[in-house]
Amino acid sequence: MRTRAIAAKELKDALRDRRTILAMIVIPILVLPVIMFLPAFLASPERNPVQVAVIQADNTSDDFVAKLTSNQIRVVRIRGEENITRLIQNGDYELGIVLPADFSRILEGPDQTATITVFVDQSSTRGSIALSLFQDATTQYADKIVLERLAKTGLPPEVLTPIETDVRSVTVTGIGSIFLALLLPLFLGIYAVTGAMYFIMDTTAGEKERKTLEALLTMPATRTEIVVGKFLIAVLIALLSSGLAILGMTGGTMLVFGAFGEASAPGLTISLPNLLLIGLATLVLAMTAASIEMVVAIFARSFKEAQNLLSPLTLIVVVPAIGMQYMSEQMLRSLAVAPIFNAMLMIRDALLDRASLGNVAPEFMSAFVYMLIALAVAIKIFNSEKAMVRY
Amino acid sequence: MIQCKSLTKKFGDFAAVDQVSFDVQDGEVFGLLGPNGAGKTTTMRLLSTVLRPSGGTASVAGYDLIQEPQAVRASIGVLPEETGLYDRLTPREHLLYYGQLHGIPGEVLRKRIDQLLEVMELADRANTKVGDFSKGMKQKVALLRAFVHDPPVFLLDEPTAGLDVMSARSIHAFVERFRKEGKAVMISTHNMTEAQKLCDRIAIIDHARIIATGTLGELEARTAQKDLESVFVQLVRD
Repeated sequence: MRTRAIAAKELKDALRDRRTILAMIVIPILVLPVIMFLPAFLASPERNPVQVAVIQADNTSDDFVAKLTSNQIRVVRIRGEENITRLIQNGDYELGIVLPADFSRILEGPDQTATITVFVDQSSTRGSIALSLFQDATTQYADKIVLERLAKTGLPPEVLTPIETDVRSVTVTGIGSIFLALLLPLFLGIYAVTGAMYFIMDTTAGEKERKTLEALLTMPATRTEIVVGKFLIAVLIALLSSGLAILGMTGGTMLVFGAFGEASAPGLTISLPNLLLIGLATLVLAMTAASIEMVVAIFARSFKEAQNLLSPLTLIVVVPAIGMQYMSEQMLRSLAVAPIFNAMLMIRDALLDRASLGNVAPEFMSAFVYMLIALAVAIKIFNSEKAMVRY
Repeated sequence: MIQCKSLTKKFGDFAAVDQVSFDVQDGEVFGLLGPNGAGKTTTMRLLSTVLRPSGGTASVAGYDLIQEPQAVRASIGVLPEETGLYDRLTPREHLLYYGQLHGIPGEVLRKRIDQLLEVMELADRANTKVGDFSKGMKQKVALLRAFVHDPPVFLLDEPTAGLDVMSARSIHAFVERFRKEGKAVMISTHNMTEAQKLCDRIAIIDHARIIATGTLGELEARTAQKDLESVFVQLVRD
């Protein structure tokens, strides 16, 4: 009853705090899609074709220039090679190409090579995209010329490809799921750990600083009831924040794949049991993180001090999440019962549809045990006078 | 009533409260007077179970401070040195929250809150967040919080510090009411006028120890002084 009253008050207070709302809702749902989608949107040549300045020595390269032009490349013919570097550096063009004289006549010959000079600023994303598009178009054009040259000599095209590779993908999930499997454990982990961090600082060190905690300690609620009431709302906020991060992330992924015209964007299919596993792993991670953060924050005398103490905690999830991307499957399995790794592996296994009882049981059981230990420590610390009262 | 027996609180080697003993009877207003850092607030924190004694004990409303802290908390109304209110909650929400923590049933609690807000002339601001309130109004809400469960014992720490005359008078009126209703009221203050006006008996605390206890008349007779301020100065100086 008292725990419920404490939890209800905490929730009401948190929902009226604009900073909690910002950390809980706005950042996860808006920031991820913006971070993921905006660069892709801005750099996308479909929406905004790259500008290529073409300098022709004569009109023998007209056919090549015509083939170069597409919905992704806008060609502008200019005169004078001397200004090209400045024009690219100024951002007027992403690419500058200089076509030699007698271009078509060189290509008509059996063994001559036409050299095209390309000017590009490779530190610019749009410059790199333009270069890549230009090289694709040039390769296509060159392939056509090669076939014509071979035909004249009477050789078949296969003379150029003594070996070819036939790649067959065994990936059972869509490319979207692979993309999510790489990023989702990282972001879910970050939001499970940081989503309620502001609330926890406010409800522990903040309450201590504002002296509301002392008034609460004079009430008949036990300190265990106080910590549990606060803990429940911290977990709820962390879960909401993580859930919204998934929505933001999924939306962002679909937008990014859409922006590149990938048909595989709808490959984000997760079965219900896998979705439940992801929820369970996030819940355990959020509960563990909330317990640890409450223990750390209650020792702080002020909100600011709590911020300084808690901020490095983000690393406990970022380091394993990033490390996981570079580890072999065997190495990851050996970390199945390691804190943080266990919950993140659960999320990854579920996303890649690799979850089995043998995989998930040690991951979940160990994560659950760590959570119980962290919560028990939090309850013990809240029952300690030294942690709770500012002398 | 409150009975303190050799109550002691040490932080490391430093004794913040040292062998403090006194009684507060039902229907009595007892003042704890002392200079800053003398141990007044620590004594209040001990009696409200926020701190655990290092030595000695006390009983509050018949409950032992160390053995039955939860029963003690249910029997006291505490007005801390700082109001400790939630800026984003209204007076009504505060009283509802603390009333629930005291286990008061819903309908009874709602009626009591309406009465209390009316008595404290806060009914028209009952649904305004306290972050927008003046210090005086916040103090009134904090006093109602102490009173919401109608406890037999009150611990008021500097109840009128920083308040204007009108706000201080309404707090004083409540203290008078508590006395008439037979409550045991303990006030910690260094406001001599307030102590003289409200307190039936006074204890003077200095350097963590009680150095004198008695009615104003008894203290004046003991020190051969004619007002509380002179009594206080002489006792603390000696």
